Amino acid sequence: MSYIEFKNVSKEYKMGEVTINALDKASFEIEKGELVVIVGPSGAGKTTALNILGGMDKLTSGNVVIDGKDISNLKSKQLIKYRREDIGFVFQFYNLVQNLTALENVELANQICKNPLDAMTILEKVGLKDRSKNFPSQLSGGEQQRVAIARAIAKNPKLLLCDEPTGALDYNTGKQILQLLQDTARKEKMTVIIITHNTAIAPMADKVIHFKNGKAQDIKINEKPIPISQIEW
Amino acid sequence: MRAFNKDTLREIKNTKKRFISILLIVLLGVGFFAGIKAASPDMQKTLDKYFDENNVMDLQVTSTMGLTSEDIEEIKNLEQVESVVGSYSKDFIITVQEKDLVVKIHSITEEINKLSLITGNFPTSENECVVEEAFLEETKTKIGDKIKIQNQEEENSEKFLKYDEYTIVGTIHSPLYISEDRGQTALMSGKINYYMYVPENSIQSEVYTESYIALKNIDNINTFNDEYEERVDEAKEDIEEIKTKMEEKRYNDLKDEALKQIEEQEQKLNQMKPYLGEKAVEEENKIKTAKQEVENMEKPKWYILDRNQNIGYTSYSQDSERIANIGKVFPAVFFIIAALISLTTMTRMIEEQRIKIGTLKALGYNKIQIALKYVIYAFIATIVGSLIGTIIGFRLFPKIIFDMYATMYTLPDIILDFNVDLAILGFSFATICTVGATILSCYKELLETPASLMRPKSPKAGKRVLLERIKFIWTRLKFTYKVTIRNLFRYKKRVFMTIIGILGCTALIVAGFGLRDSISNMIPSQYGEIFKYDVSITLKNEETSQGLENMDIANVEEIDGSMPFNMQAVEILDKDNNQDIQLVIPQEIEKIEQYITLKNRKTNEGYTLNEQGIILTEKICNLLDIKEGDIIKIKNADEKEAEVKVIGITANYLMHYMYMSPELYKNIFNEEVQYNTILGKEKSDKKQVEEIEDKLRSNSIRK
Repeated sequence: MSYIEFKNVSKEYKMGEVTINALDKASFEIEKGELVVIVGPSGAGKTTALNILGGMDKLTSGNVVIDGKDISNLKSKQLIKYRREDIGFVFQFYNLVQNLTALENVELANQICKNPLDAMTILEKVGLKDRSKNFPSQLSGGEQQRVAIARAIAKNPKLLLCDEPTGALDYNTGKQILQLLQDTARKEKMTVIIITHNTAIAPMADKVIHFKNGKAQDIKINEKPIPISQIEW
Repeated sequence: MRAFNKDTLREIKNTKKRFISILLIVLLGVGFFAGIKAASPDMQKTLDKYFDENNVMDLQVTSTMGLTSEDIEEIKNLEQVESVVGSYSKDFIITVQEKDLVVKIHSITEEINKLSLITGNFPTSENECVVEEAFLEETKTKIGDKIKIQNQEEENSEKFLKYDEYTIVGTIHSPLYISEDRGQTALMSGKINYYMYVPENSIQSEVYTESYIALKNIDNINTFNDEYEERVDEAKEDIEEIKTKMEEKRYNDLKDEALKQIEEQEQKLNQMKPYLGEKAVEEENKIKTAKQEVENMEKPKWYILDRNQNIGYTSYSQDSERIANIGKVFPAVFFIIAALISLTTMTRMIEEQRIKIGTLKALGYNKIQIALKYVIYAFIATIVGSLIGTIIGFRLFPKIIFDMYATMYTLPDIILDFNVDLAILGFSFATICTVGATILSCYKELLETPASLMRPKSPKAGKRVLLERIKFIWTRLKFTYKVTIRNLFRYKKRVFMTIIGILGCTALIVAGFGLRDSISNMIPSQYGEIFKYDVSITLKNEETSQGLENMDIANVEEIDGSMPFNMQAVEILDKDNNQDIQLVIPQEIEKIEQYITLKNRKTNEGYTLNEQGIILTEKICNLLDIKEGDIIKIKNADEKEAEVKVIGITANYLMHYMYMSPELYKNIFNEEVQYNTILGKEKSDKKQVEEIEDKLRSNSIRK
């Protein structure tokens, strides 16, 4: 049995009288410590799958089992606990709290966890030790995303979920961020899932899942993932 | 501090405008609420303190035949009584600057009803007096001027005042006259113009005209409290107990004295009889009638009055109650507006922060924690707003309201209190409004999944509106109008907020104007529509019995008809609330129509008096919960009780009245109606009251 099992998951959105199937019996499996890249065109259901994995959205049918625990039918209280303890989320637009400094943003996450990592140490790891007292508006996009990653890692989660982490960044900065995520996965032995529509970065992953029309159409395993620094696009 | 709480506090700093807008509306709401609510207690406290400081009487006893020092002594011995003073007062016509005025002259009492000296000094010799300030201003006299007393020897050979001329030595203010009303008199036009005080020893009356009583340990009770009233009522009962005894005693003393005098005369007559001849019979008859007169002498009657019989005190008390009533409704509008503003502000804030809420949820914060963030935001605004609001409100509004009334009353400066109860109450209301609105506006968002919070909120679907079916209008509308009309139905919440906001403001304005209108219309309505008479002539007791036929009021050319009425104070006996009311009995029930309108206010249907029952005015019926057909118990001026049926409830705007036919009065009280008032109508609309008054006075109408 795999670490993560995503089995026949469907998700329907009702927009007035129209029903949209964002996910249509999608299935895939992920092993512990894997770096997974999910690729696919817009509207293929990538984000929906990630949201369901992260306990941020409810599924219509199917099962999601993570580390032996079925999260598909959790009550809202248990779902909050799941998000708090097990999940680290990195968003495309960083979603930092503007009123808080870099350090405080990380603390915001780790102050409610059971086994958090030290906020300052993590900031140091992402290379922002000197900017810890800066507010998000004083940081560049790449720095902000690094704070966001630090915030996600500081919770010491089972899963690090990244939704288009480089979507708002330029080429070089994006590359640095991906490097950071790859390093984190390797060094911390953390399961990392990255959504992107940029198929070029697929070689960095242990596993590449192709989404199309709400289905995981193609799952490839990279026997030899390439360090991101060697990938050009 | 936890990062989460830091965010809440920094949020305030970074959204100052929003925070201040909630703070301000709370400030306004709580300020108005606390301020207007506090006005009435502050007003009452001010008067209470003033009365305590000047040791204003709690009770006053007067007697139709004066009070002796024995009476005073007897009252002093009562358990509840702290002190009693006998005092004199009488109405006089005085001439100043060749103008006749009516003044009420009081004797100065040291202990009770202390006067406040304003200018000059208190009298040091017997022929000096102090007057009120307005007297000097309006009569253009000054300290040192002399006042001439006109009608000294009116009844007895003994003068009431020792002197006919008094020198003004100072101006004072008496706590007995806080309003502009100086009371009624039998002299001249019936209105007292001014009051003045003379030293006690310049009055030579044998008996006191009244006595002022201060009760024990009552200064620490607010005079407007029920407890005060209870204490006064208790004391009243005590006095009531000695009343009959003292009345009887006074009666016997007077009778004995009179009889003694007659006896002396009789003895003299007996001694002289042989020398008088025929004249002796005449003298004997004189003595007989004198004896008869003594036998028929009316018994003295005590009246026990409390502060409620003081016109200034009652009208002030009513005014303070009126303000209290305004305080019941008015501030509610501001709280509703506060709730609305909080609702819009917080709704917008939460809509703007959807992604933040989503992020916090994604991080694992729960609904209550997130909601608390916004609740605390609103709550801090409420605390600060309430605090400033109460501080300003308690200082500002009672002062403004009091200053408005200050033109009508002579009182020291208002005492401004910080009323903790009201502050807490206002703060609680504000909290309910703002926190309630906050919870209401974030409730829906908190139920959403983090995923949907991250997505931009899908705009509300546009809908077709009914107006589109009416093709010929819709096709003629410009694009912007079409959008506006569709949006009206698309964002119902905003539409309702706008409507309620405008509704509230309009209601406030209309209520304000309405209040002004209804108050200013009350007098014209009462004296134009209801009371149609122009002249009212009140007859003295003696005249009532015999004088009516002699009063040929119709001879006055300006008068277009008149009719005698009986007016007397009666009491409606209710279970827990006896009410004094003016009873009006027309001589001819068919003709009352010409002088007083009796009609139902809603249907305008007229009422006619008959032998079956009485007609009451509307307000008293509301107060005592009386309906048409009810049977009520009444007590007339002679303390006779009777039951009567209410046959009609008539429109009326000022005071309370009861209308009865003379036949019914005769039936229930078993006595003839004494007509003591004549109501008349003027021929023209010129309001020649003064001319009529002169003619009536000049005895020309008395044959």
